[in-house]
Amino acid sequence: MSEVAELSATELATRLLPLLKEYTEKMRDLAERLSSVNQRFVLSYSKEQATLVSEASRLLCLRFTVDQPVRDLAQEASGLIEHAALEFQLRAELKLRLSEIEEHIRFAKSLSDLIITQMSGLRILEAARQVAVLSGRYKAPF
Amino acid sequence: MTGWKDALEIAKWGWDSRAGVKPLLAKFRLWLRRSKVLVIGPGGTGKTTLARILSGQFDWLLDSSWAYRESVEVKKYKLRADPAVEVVAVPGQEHRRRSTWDGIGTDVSRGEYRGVIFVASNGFHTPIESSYKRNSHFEPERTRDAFWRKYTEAKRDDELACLRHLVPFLKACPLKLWLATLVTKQDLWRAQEPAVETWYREGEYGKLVTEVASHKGAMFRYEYHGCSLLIGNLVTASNEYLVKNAEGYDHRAQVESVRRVFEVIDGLHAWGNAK
Repeated sequence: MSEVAELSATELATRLLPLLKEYTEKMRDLAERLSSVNQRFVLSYSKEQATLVSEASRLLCLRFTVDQPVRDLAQEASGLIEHAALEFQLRAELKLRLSEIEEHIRFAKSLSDLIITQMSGLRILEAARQVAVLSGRYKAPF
Repeated sequence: MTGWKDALEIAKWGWDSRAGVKPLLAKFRLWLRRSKVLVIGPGGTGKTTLARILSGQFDWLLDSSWAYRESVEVKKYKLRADPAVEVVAVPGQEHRRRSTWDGIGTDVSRGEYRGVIFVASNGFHTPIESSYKRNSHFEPERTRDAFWRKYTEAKRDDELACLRHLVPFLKACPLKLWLATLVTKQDLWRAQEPAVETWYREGEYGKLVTEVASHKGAMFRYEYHGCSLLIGNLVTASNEYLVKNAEGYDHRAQVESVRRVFEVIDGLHAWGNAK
């Protein structure tokens, strides 16, 4: 029997909470940085765009990398909220943390899509993809 | 050549005729917005998979949809048969409904959707949590089958609750509206088919649909269809087998059921478009 199956719902929820807290902060930070890059693209001149391209590429790759694992974490929390027998306060805290992280997941995605659209319009999307490939990826994830 | 004097004339005409123009504009906006189909239902029934199949985005080789990935956001697609139609799939977990279902009822009642696809699974909803032993329906002293019976019963109740939530809005819609209930995972519950069909046509679920049909009369159409979007045993993330495929339910049966999904939706879509 796997170790995961032996953890009770309460034990798992207690272990998940600090992780949720940590990644809520990280996803919020990522969403804020994406928002800042998006705004700077709107206001930028062509010289500044060249600098923004590498930053945008880095953030898009980072979002792509963490998105699914963070969603998996959220999914585990969601399952506990939906189905497990949890004490009221634990469930409430899990719900709050989950709601918060999901907002950041959604906004990080929509801001990423906006940046990709911006770069496509400015004809610098290919340059951003090149930066991702130069960083060691086989192919840019956007 | 149109000059500023002509523009002024047009503006003056528009202002003078605003009483007549306003309702026409409102109807036009509603017609534009009405090119939408709602895909709704509890979590773990296959709404996103269905929406992706209907939009032609689903890749049968690359998409590993037996690995359940819960949706946290509303997803929008274009209907493959008619790209002017937007398919809107909303997350189904109970704790997300307040944020993601907010406003949907109002939009349905205002006639912004031409059709609603309610995705159910006869209670065979994919559990989100990694192990069924953390589910509140699990009792250590009882068998896995006992857990599964309790779980599916609770999930069927949830399907009823979802539909019950929608019924007032479906009834309030002043325009033509169709409802399709697609009961997915047929490859798992095939042995219970007669009882399943009775439930969704005449049972508690069917009675709610009848309530809408009686209210809306000829402005409403309903179709039920059991299907299997993907063949796969129902397994948790920890590889615990909950339900195995019905023996004899093969690829051909699955493809035919999906083909029929397109026929049902196309038929309803055509009915909705007819005057």
